[in-house]
Parts: sequence; C-alpha cells; structure tokens
Amino acid sequence: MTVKVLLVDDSRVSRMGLKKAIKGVSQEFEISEAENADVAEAYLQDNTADIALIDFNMPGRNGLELVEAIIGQHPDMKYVLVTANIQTSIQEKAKGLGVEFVGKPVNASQLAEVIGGFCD
Amino acid sequence: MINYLNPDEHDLVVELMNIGVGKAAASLSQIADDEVTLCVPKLEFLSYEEAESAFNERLSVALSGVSQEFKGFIGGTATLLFPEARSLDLVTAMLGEELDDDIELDAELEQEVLSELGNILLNNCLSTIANILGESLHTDLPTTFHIESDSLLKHLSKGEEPKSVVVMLLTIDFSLKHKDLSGHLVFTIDFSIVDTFKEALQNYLNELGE
Repeated sequence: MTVKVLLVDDSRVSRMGLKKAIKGVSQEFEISEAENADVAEAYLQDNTADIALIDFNMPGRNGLELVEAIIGQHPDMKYVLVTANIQTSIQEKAKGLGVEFVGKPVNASQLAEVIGGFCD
Repeated sequence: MINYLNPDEHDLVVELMNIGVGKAAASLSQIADDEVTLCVPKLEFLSYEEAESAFNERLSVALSGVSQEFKGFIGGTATLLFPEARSLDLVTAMLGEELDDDIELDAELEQEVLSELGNILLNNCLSTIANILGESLHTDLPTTFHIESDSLLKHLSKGEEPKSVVVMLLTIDFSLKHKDLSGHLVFTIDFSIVDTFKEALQNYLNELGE
C-alpha cells in the first residue's frame, strides 16, 4: 500500500533532508511537496494525503495556521509539525490542535516512530 | 563599556546562552556528523563604535552569514557567521550524502543550506532560552548575506542611528573537530525593551532563591 506524504516547508534543503529520511523508513511513501501554506492548501483541494509534515516558520501563514485552515476538510490526515522552533508554547499549541511535534534537526528514529506506523 | 546587567543577571545570561548554544551545537553535530567544540561565551555591552571595532578585530574580512530577528520579552538579531572562503566547504559538510549527483552545488543551493542551518541553530538556541525562562519569542524567517566585517554592524542594526544602538554582544566561537570549519554566533539586542528582559531574568533568579 502506498502512503501519501505531503511535505510543507519553505526550505528546499529541509525538504531534501526529509525526503531522504522518509525513504529511509520505507520506500512505500509517495511524497509531494509544497513550499508554503497557500501551495499546500491548493494541493489539498484536488488531492489527498495520509500524513502532512509541516514546518512552523514559513513566509505567509505559519504551519499551525495552515493546520487550522485545512483540518476541517481533512480530519483523517495525520498532522506533524516539524520545526526548529522548539519553544514550549509552540509545542503546546500543536498539542492543542492534535498535531504531533518533531524538533529539527530530525533524526531517523524519531521520524520512523511518527510515520512508521503507516507501513504496518 | 557600560554594564546593563547586575552580576547575577550577567552570569545567568551567559549560562542561558551556554545551554542554548549547547542545544544548537548538538544539532550542528547531528547535521554535520562531527564533534562540535564550543568556546566559553563572551558577553559584552558595547557602543556602536566599540562593536564596530570588535567586529573588525575579531572576524574574517569576508563573511557569509545568516541572521534571524526575534521579538518578545527580548528583541534583537541572532547571527551565525562563517568565513566566506569556507562557505562552500560548510555546505558540503552539511549536505553530506544528501548531495545527490543530479543536484548541482550552486550559489542558490548554498544560500538555502545556510538559511536552513541558521534556522535550525538560531531557533534551537533562542527557543531553549525562552523555554528555560518560561517566556515566548517570535522569530522571523532567516536571511542570508555575504558581507565584509566593517559593514556587518550597519547591516545588523538596520541603519539605526549609531548613538541609539547598544549592542549586547554575545560571541561564541565554535568549530567542527574533523572538518576544519569554525564560525561565530553573535547576538545583538534591542535595548529599547531591556526592561522586560531584565524582568524575565529577575523572575528566574527569584525562583531559584525561593
């Protein structure tokens, strides 16, 4: 079964690293990318994803604002905030929205824990 | 040189920076797959002129950097600096095996790597400090630049009048043990909101004393 992952991050380098790490967990993941919240929201108008890995600090809307905008239309998607902004206040806001939190830099075992369950 | 903090506050800032930069160094070590050596942070309060001459004396002439503005109980700019001549080596060290054959190491990618590296290290450091003090900070997106050391302060102070600028210069030199790469972390603080910063430090010190 193919698992669809949407990466939302303004940094191409960060997306490159995440893609490599995801492929390291399993080759079953089909990865799409968006460089900001607007592009991600537009993508999800016509497509679906099983997991969204979303950066916090991005030009325009931040990652949690994106989640608030799309969670109503995509309640079954798993949301993971992947950010270097590891402040407690951000982690608590994420938790309040039901969003998992992973601090950057991401290590492989952490990522496997968060997304690996989809490959079972 | 004027000191805006009492000895306990000064000591606390150095300790917070030690912890914050320690977190950032752990992240750098993970990214570069190398041991990171840190020097003891040096905290100084400098006028514009003093800071300008400090940058000229201590830093390489040509620099590559990434800076990130922050606002909240404390405001200012956090900057990560490397000698420009070693910038591409740094990028190669950072990307490592992620640098596939079909990806060209060009100026654009170099900027993006520096930007993401700054994003991770500066945010890790600032977030750790905010967490310890029980405060929150807003951080802007990172911006990269190439600059000569004699123009650095003008760049960081955003063209503000030199007389109104007080620089809380916190310098931490770091190096990657096996890659012959070193850099500097520099924090410049906006002293128009120093009261909230001192209040946060005092609250923390008071809690320690309870």
